[in-house]
Amino acid sequence: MTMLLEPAEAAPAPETVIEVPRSIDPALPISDKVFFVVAKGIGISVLVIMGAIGVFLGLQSIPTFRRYGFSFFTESSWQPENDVLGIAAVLVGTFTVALVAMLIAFPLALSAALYISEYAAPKVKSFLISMVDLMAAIPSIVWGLWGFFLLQPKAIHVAHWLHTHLGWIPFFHVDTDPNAAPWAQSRYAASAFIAGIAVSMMVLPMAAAVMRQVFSQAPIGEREAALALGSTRWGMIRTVVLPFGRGGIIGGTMLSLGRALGETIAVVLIISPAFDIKFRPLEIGTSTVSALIAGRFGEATSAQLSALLTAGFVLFVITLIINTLAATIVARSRSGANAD
Amino acid sequence: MTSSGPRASQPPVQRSIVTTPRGIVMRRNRSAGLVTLGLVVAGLVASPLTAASAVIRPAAGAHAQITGSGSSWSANAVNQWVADVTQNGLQVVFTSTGSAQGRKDFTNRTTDFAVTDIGYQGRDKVTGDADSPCQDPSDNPPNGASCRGYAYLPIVAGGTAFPYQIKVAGKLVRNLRLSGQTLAKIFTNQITNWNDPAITADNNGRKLPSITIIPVVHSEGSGSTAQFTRYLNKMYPNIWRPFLGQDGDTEYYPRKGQAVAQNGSDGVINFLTSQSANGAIGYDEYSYALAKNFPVVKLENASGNFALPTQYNVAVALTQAKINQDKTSANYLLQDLSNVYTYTDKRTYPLSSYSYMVIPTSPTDTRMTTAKRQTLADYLYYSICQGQAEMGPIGYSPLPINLVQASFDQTAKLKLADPGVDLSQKSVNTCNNPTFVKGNPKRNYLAEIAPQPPACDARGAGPCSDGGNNGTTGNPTPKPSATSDSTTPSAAPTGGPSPSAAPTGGTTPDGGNNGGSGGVVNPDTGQPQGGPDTAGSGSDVVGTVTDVAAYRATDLAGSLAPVVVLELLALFALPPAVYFFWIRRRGTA
Repeated sequence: MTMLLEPAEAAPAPETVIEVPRSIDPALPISDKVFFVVAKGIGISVLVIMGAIGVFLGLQSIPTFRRYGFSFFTESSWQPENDVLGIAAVLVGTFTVALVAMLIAFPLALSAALYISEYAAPKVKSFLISMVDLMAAIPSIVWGLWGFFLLQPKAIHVAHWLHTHLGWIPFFHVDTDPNAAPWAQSRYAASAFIAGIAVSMMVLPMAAAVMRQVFSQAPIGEREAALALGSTRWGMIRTVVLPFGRGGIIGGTMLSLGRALGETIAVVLIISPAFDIKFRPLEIGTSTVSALIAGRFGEATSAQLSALLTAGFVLFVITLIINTLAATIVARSRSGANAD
Repeated sequence: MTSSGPRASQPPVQRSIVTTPRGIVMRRNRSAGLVTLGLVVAGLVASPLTAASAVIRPAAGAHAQITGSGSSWSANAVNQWVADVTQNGLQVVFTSTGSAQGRKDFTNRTTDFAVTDIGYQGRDKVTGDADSPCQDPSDNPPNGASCRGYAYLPIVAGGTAFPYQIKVAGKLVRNLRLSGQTLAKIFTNQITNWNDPAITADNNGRKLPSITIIPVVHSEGSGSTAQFTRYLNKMYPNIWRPFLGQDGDTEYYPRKGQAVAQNGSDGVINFLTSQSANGAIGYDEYSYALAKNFPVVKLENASGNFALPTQYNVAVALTQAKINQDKTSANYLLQDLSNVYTYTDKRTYPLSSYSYMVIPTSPTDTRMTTAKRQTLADYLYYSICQGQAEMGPIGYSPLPINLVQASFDQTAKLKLADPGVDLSQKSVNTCNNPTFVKGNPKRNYLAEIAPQPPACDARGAGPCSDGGNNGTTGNPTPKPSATSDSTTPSAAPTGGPSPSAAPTGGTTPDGGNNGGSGGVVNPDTGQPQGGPDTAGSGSDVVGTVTDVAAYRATDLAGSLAPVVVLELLALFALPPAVYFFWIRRRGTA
């Protein structure tokens, strides 16, 4: 303040008054300052915690990277007892499960979001919104049990049907004879496909919620304009809601993809751990990074723990990238920049 | 406190003869991470409880809740005892996480005791990390914090069994017999189909249908894997070592090929018994199969007889176990089973072994209190004394008296560590152990009364029509038979063992191995239709599903695939194309 007062004291001497604008410094009241500091501190602490996790994982993974080098990314088997380990297979498995989950969750989430925001009657709408939120609140262990005991015996037959009819596509291949008289049911169990279905149910509500929010923000003027020009409701959705919500669709999908990549306990319950690099989700046996960590964490020695944390670090980085991209896209679409 | 959400995942796998509320029994969860978390939570909550109960009931012997983790092989036994002592006010929490994790939890002082099937493994080959809490377990820790004094004591015996699921015409085959060699080849992916000649030979010419074998192995570090691979390494090194890639046994089974890995004993047995697992075979303690009423393989012993892992056969086999009797050794009381594998008594179940508890013996152990030691001692006395009597019916075998005595002596180390522990009125003689002969600690009564196997259980005879009648039904003691839940077809005694039931007279009594010579030939497959036993013996393997060549998919399906793609594309693409074409023409017209 003293600095600001000095020109004021110097001013009155000559007639040629140079008009200096009065400095306006509306000091914030104490309560606002406190609130500002606290809110800022909490906001920063989130970043600090996030960064601390990254730094911790990064530091922990140094010994592993030093020991195994780049082969950590190319080796498929995980045999710490033989000093052979790498995350090639688990990364492939992680993305296979996530891919299956997204293939199922995306159309469901999109249709659910569209129905809720555009078609549902107001009463049904609020009910459906709360139901979707409720679905997000179901613990993942419950989804895992659901997948293991209820879904798996049924999904085996779906997998067999897919293999029988689409088996010539490598993606649907299973290493067994689908037409054998008693077909080998167990070859279709405990697979990335079944784990992916369970995971899709878990990420669906998140994707649907994000998409619904963005759809509901589609500008009312353009909606009415489309309708006034004689468009049907579907025509309006196609020309206004979907283009406007493109960012939300992409962002919601990627957010749920980030969650699908890290989903743990439901996957652990369903899959049979196997460390092969394969893109055959219908076939038994796969492994994901998080399932690997959950399964091996307890009995790990310090060196193995470092390897597991390194796998976690890789997953952390991947998820971080995907979520950041998603958040950027969603934020951009919400600001209306994409609407034209 | 211990009945939080995730643990509810576990179906009870135990038939208890004492019904008790099981609220505090922590169940195996498929996630090791969660279990560890649970242990930590349990430990955190336990400490205030300790103080509280010590204050409230100082006169009641001052017990406190103890937690342990480890082997799922012996988990059913441990949990049975936990349930029993709960009635007496002892709070014991056991989590079956696998032997490897049990030992590690103990080393890290997350638990008060560990249960493991093998001892500490010494230094890690790769990292040089010591796997042992203490170099010299009997003494006080020389360097304080980094070391936790411990002692082993055997708690129960049992057999590593091989439950399997082979369904023929909707019925479970229940009397499969396998030699150790066949088993070794199955688990090393050398035998991949149940109609393999080696399996047919083991079953005296009775041929199983063509079903792919799915070996089911443990994915976690498991004591049962260690026991099984130790047997393979000792008995069939030429089969096992090339598969493992090195010499020795392992707790981590190297899953390859068609084999399926499952986490924990429950995971293995759940997979095996699931609807979809036709053709699967796994390994685990006998109790798991028994609880699910699932058949286990009759394993061939050195005398050429096929035996089940009943309490009698296990007791007979383990009379040959070499127990380390050197009290100064770090491995005091641990087992050397090489003589068990080759014991020539007809009743031997070769894959028998003891399971061990690891208890903390250091007086300066930071985790232990007098109340906890007292609880551990009382729990142990119940387990290795009275608790042994109920082991047979749930699939284990009781300890012989010399090991019970040794375990008593090991438990006494708890008093050495803390004079406040009250061990009075504990004596081996009060135990109602079925192996004891009064006044003669050298004898094992259970092994003496073990019934001889029926003739049909020998190689070259049978197979017996019922998987469970390995001479154990109708045993002379009033104790319930371990195999009483096996179904016994009433028609069995006439047919099963006798090769004279053969459809043709062309086979000799041991001619089942080449049963096709005089037998019926299946017109579809050209295969000999079973051995001398398939007709009329009440045996399960009738109505064999055969793959008729004409009905099988051919390679044509592969070559027709592109055509299918084109047709599909045309189906979806043509109508709109035609439609738009028509619209356009109308528009321009």
